[in-house]
Amino acid sequence: VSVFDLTKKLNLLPLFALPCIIVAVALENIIGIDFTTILGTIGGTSLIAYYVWKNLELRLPKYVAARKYLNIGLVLLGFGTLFVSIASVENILSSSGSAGIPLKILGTGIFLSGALGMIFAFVVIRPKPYDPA
Amino acid sequence: VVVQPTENFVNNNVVKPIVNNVVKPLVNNVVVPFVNNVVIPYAKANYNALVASYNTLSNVGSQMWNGYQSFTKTVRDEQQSFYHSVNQDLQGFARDVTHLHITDMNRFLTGVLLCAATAALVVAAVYAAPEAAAAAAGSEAFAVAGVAASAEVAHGLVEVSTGALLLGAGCVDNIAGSVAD
Repeated sequence: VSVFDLTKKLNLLPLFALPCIIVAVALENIIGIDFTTILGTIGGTSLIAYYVWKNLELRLPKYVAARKYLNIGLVLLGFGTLFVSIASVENILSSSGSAGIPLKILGTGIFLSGALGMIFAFVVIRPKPYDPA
Repeated sequence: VVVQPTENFVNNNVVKPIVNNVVKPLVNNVVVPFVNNVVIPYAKANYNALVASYNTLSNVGSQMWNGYQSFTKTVRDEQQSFYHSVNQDLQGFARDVTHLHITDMNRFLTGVLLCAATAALVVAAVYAAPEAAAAAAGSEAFAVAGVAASAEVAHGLVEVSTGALLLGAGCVDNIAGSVAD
């Protein structure tokens, strides 16, 4: 897979993420809170991943300096999304309204730590000054 | 023996006439009227003016003192009223916060997830602004590259801001809808 193909695929990511978020937020009353959770977290994570990877491609110094922590944050966001999605599916399939709550709490914790880790990386890590030599 | 008559003579023929004919009339007709009509009234007028000035100043000082006391009392009352009001507001706020409880945990967690995604997106967008990135790099060379890449960054920014707005709306809606007083 060439770099051009990857860039092209990366640019398609918002086309997937934004409709997910729009449906999740605007149609929450129709689709229910569980589908909103699934679509919202998938859309949000995709959009964050798109923006981070795009800026890493553009080699923005802040992003390059924090690359390691941003990738860890994205992995945590991904795991959080996976856990809350499984919890939401469990909730949809279960007759009880609070079936997947413990798993959702766990997923929310992972998702939060990923988001906070990324924010922390942006705020704390400083890029090295430009050295022409 | 010789001196005595001479002295009497001078006394009787020079001093006494001068005193009786010159000094006494002068004192009676000039000095006394002058003192009575000019000096005493002038002194009296000055004294009265001084007394009036003192009274006026005393009144002004008294009024100023009263005004100061009234002012400090007003300030003290206002402060007490303000502190009382703020205290009441804080107590009301604390009561509202402590009485808040989650009515729908599922929805609340969704709100928290959307808030976290919003915060991450907003911070990522802030630190990707070309000017901020150039300043962070601290180099003129990157500033040029940053401006050149600004179109690309701005392009991504549209999607990110749209997503952040929607996610933020979902965050507020879900958290507000899942707690009650």
